[in-house]
Amino acid sequence: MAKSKNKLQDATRRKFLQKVGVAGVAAIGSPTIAFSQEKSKRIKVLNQNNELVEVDVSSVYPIKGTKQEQTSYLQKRGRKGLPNRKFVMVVDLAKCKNARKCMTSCQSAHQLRPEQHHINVLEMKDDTNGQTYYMPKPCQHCDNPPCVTVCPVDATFKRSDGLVLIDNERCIGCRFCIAACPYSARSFNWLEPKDADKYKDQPYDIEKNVPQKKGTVTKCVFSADQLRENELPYCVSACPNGVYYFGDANEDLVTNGTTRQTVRLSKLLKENAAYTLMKELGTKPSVYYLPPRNS
Amino acid sequence: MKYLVIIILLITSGTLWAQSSWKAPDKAQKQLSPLVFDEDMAQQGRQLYSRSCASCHGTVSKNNYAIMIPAPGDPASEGFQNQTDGSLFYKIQKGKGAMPAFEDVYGTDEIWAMVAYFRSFNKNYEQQLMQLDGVEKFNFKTAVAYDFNIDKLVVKVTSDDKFVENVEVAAFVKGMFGNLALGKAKTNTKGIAYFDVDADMPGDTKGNLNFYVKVNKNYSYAKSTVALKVTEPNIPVAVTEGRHLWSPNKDAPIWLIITFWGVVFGIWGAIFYIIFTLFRLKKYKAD
Repeated sequence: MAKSKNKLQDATRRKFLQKVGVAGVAAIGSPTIAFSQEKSKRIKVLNQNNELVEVDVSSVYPIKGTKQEQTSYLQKRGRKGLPNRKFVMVVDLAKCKNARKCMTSCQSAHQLRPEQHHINVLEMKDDTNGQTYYMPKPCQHCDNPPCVTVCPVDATFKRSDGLVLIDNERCIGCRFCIAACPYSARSFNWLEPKDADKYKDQPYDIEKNVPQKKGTVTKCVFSADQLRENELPYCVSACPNGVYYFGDANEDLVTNGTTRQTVRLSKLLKENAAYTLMKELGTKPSVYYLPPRNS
Repeated sequence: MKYLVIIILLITSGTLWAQSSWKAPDKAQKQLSPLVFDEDMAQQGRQLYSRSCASCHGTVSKNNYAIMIPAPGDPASEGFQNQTDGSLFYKIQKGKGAMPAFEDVYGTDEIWAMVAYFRSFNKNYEQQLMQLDGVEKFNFKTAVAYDFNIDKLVVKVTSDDKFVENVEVAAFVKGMFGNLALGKAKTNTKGIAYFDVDADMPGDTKGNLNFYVKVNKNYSYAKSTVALKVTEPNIPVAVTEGRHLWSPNKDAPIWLIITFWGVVFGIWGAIFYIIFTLFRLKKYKAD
């Protein structure tokens, strides 16, 4: 009896909050709509630091419901790409000095153990003259992804904005995708993930792939949660050497994560003889490399 | 005791030497901010810092800067705080070696905001304000348009309905993560500045480019953002369009769907046919 009463109270409170939330969003949203049709999909909200920030309506969701409801919401939202975007990364090998800041920031953001990598900096050796250079290697977010082709349960998928994500609520741990990926970009959670206790009450955010789950595959997600907030991926903004450029190919603009300088993508690729890894496989990667050179 | 004094002297002189190895020019050192460093400004500086500086300099006052040679240092440390406002401003603006120059990325007001943020960690700091008496103040208004005859972006700067010449104008194209600099120019006698825009610059789905314009003269500032239809509508085709082997079930290639269901129906059909024939055989026997 007491239980059902509680439920009733909950239901009314939730309903009330929903109504308030809708009214609030409408109230905040309306001046922006009046101001410009262009910005009708963005609203202004206060963040935890008491700053007024502008966010996309689609990224605002009420903090309500059970963990499962929130997870479902995030799963559904994460399946669709950001409209009219096509994300690309450019890695300037001449600038990489193996600082490994990209790796540590990635691991702390995505709840990874030190031996797990979404991005890994490899030491490469030139065959002919024996010189070495460092090559950061994230998931290539292929436009013809072999990993997605082989997934038997539709757990890993490609979004319209070019990102290849994985839903660890669907993943059955068969590791076909690990076998199919020619870039060895994926890793498996053989053990309980790092700080599992700390994350256990959080809803699963598919765009961040956190909390991680034992027995599932994990991979680089180009920090889709950051992109939704118009922020650069964790690795890109952590680099102290200006190695990474990241941006939208539809705008033809990429921004350097260190200097924040924005350049034309097509010009950058052409002028520096950019290449992609294992082009002959026809995977069409979204990550371009600028060859190592004396700079 | 004597040795201790000598050692301390040696250490302090060593650190002083290391800190003074990059000196701003005297003129730059004497620069003062025209803007009052307040909480709002420090807050703006904090945001900019976390975007562009934290990867090397770490969290301010935590001394967790990146291990590099020379060390980037913590902006709350004495080495930074003992410098003049002008010196900090100059170093952010011009850069040196591994320290990038932020001149083309951030405006002077934004760089002063970063200095304001660093100063908020220094309790003993008192701001020396620039004397702005006698300096002409402007109430800038900008009109931005695209001239198709000369293929240039035109920025007209007025203050109280009068053209202002010699105003420094910086124009950018807004991108998702940053702004593409079109350059800097000064207004002519009619208060107009021109900028070249790449002809093949793709616009958004309506053919608009978002231009961002900053003007400044005599420490008066103004900013504006304008969307102008410059190009043909650019409607990108999503990579997920069409049928691919990696598409979800409903978008699988037609030949795959036909083959799959063909095999399924073929096998089940054969089984049912055999059963059906067996029944007929039984019936035939009975007859």
